[in-house]
Amino acid sequence: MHHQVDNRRTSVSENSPSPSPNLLSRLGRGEADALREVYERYADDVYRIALRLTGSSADADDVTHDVFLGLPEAMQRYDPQRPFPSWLRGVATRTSQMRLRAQRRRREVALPSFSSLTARSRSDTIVDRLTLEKALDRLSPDLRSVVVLRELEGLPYQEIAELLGITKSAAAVRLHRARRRLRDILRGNL
Amino acid sequence: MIGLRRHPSWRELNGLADEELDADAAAALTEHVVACSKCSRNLSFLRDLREAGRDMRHPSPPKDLWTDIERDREDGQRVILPAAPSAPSRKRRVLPAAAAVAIMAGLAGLATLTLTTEAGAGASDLQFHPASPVPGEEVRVTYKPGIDLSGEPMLKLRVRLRAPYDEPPRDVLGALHEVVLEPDDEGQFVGSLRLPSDFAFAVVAVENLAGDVLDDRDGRLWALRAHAEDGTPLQSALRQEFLVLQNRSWPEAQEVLEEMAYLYPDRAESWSLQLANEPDESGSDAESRARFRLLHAQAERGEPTVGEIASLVRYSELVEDAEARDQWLARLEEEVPAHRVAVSRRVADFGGDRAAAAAYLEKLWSTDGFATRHTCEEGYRAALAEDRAAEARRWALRCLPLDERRELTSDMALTLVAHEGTRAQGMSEMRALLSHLAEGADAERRLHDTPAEVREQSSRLQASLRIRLGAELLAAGDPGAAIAEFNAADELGVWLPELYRARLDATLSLGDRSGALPDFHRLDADPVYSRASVDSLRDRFPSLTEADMAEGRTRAEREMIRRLGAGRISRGLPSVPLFTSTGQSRSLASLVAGRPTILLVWDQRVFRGDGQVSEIIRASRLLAGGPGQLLWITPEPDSESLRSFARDAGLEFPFHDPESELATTLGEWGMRGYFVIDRAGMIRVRVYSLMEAVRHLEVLELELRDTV
Repeated sequence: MHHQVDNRRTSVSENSPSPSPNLLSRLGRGEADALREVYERYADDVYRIALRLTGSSADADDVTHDVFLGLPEAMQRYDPQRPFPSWLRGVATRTSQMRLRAQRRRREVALPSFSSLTARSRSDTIVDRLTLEKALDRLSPDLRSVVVLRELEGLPYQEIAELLGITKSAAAVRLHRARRRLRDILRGNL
Repeated sequence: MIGLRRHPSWRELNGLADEELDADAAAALTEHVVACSKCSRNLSFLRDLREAGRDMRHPSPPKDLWTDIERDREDGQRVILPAAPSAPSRKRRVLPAAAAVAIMAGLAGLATLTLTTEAGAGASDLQFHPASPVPGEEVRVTYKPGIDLSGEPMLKLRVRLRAPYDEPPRDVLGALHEVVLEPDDEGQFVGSLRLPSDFAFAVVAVENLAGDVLDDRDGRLWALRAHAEDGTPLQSALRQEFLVLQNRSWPEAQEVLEEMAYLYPDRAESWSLQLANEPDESGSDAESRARFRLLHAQAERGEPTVGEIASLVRYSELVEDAEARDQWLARLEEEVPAHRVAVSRRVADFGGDRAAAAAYLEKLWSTDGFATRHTCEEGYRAALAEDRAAEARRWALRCLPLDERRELTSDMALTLVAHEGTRAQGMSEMRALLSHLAEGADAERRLHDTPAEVREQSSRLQASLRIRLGAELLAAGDPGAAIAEFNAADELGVWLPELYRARLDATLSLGDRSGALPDFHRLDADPVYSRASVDSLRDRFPSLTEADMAEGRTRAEREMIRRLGAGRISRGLPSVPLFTSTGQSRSLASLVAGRPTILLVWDQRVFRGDGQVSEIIRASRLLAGGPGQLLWITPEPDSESLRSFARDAGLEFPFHDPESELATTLGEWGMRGYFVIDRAGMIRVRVYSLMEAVRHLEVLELELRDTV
């Protein structure tokens, strides 16, 4: 599969207004053109979250596929009082987390070597994109999710808490743990 | 706020990096950070992390993905997406099994699909308003019932309120408060609760007014913390929450401690608890010692509270700083001479010098205001440990009138029973305790238990106390009174081999062989009772023929089957995926595979400290050669520590339940229960003793044999 890559930073909450009630209603009825319209507007956002959470384009493909395949039925659980982009982000996050957990179960058998990562990071200065991507792979799904949602997606603690079903203070604590662990990984202590 | 003289905490640095501090706080921190290379490096790291995040690629999905989705929908494929958490919840959210992403392939051609029940449907929800209350505040409660409680006219909220310095839950359940919840127009139940001014933490369950249908959130209960006005959880709330969680869910207890250290990094308690609970997570020894020296110096300059001083004593012990330990222990004694931390340390410090320890405790007891329950319990324990019966009786006589029924009450009463001079008083204490248990006071019922479960537990406890009382009376030379207690225990209807053995000895001591014979047959029939003991007892009945033995055993087996079958359940196996160490998925049904099974759903840490490993080894030996198996499921990931534990315990390496889905589905969250599964794959019994589980498993086999 060919992947389009660009460096535009888009965020569901920043750039995507809620779709009209009519579109959401048609989506809930499973109308194909409504699903296509929603896909065109939000597929990049769902894919980006999935890619960042799972760290694998194959998994991100599958997550995006599953989210849109199940979206019309999932609309039964959508609360119209809530912004649709934020709700969809939650669906993408949870689906990715489940995927990531299944992946980790398999990965726990043999972790990849991170010698190149740690060697590069011993200079104790810059955290670059590549090292961060590799270091994220070593976090648990819970910690990885909070880093992605905060540092990469730029969400406020309150929204992270709501997405993950934890309190705001627990979200802050998890982010702190994740940052501390990333620091140790990048300094080669782990 | 002008420049910080101390290093900022990670919480403050995170706030600065996140740009969430007010201008004054940010300026003060920045002034410090500019001058401090260590903090500057840490802040740079946090900012670099954010920059690297912003720099990450933002790819789009493959061009042909939409085509795949469109085709799959047209083919009738559907996916059930994971349910959203119903509300922000402090606990780690565990997605129900039904919420797993399940691709329903092979359904091409169906115009409409009937999806499985929506994930989470039927689950209840409880909300507090405000969600972050301060002590003394009125809290409104909204409860959306699940299926079980939806038809009730009114409901009852049961709340266990814990104060800042309540002891661990084993000693103090927390004050019970009940609130009637009334239905509103939206199918919810509402009520309100005024929190006491010393409120720290509460756990909550909901039940119907009769108390026979209970919603305890799959055993997890709902939790409510006390907060400061700014919305930060109070340290006392976190302390109490940790105490409630520590014996139930180690990872969640650890999370609470991490939260405490994050929110209250300048308190010794935050770090001493973490160091005691999980040394590996608390940094290196050098870091712990450095942190201790910092807090020690800070406390020397300030005016620490009594609780903080006690924490400094514990912390200094953990980092092995003897000088600081002596300093803070002396300070604690100055403030509160009978503080439980001070008393227990002083008694331990006397070591082998019994006379000095006894003199210290006597002096404390005779000082006005220091005659506390804790002092006399220390005295009682110390006397028992040294086998000084007269001294133990003296402390028991001091403790019992304090009128707090605690763990040691029955031990103290039995100590008095053992001596002729205090027997009457000991018997009277035991009678009062037994009568109290028989009443089953609702105020002492745990939130997880229905009244029926309490009755069952109470019967077992009463029987156990009567057996101990009978044994003391027998040892004191009164077999008649002992047998009366054993008979009273037997009337409670529980199958108890230790009762039969004790009564057999008492009856034989009266020379009554025929009276002792039924208990011999019961021991002979019991599949767990030691065969060697049965064989040695056989000589006490020389006229017993093999035919008599067989007939007596059959009769006793019937009684055992009847007694053990009384509380049996019948429940199918949950369809939760479990994983081998190599990541292969297995269903519980495939692991049971027609074999009678005892299921343990535990974290390895739950095993420690109770001699449970040796019990497991014994159970494995009992099951060896037969069809029964022990199956261990754990949420704990594969690690060398887990492997070495499994090796030491003689257990097969466990199957992995990474999100505790099985434990949650079974309502087993962190409890030490055992499930007995029959050959047909039905859960038949849940018990709290492994030997009891083995007994049930064998009895199920006996029943099957009889049926065949």
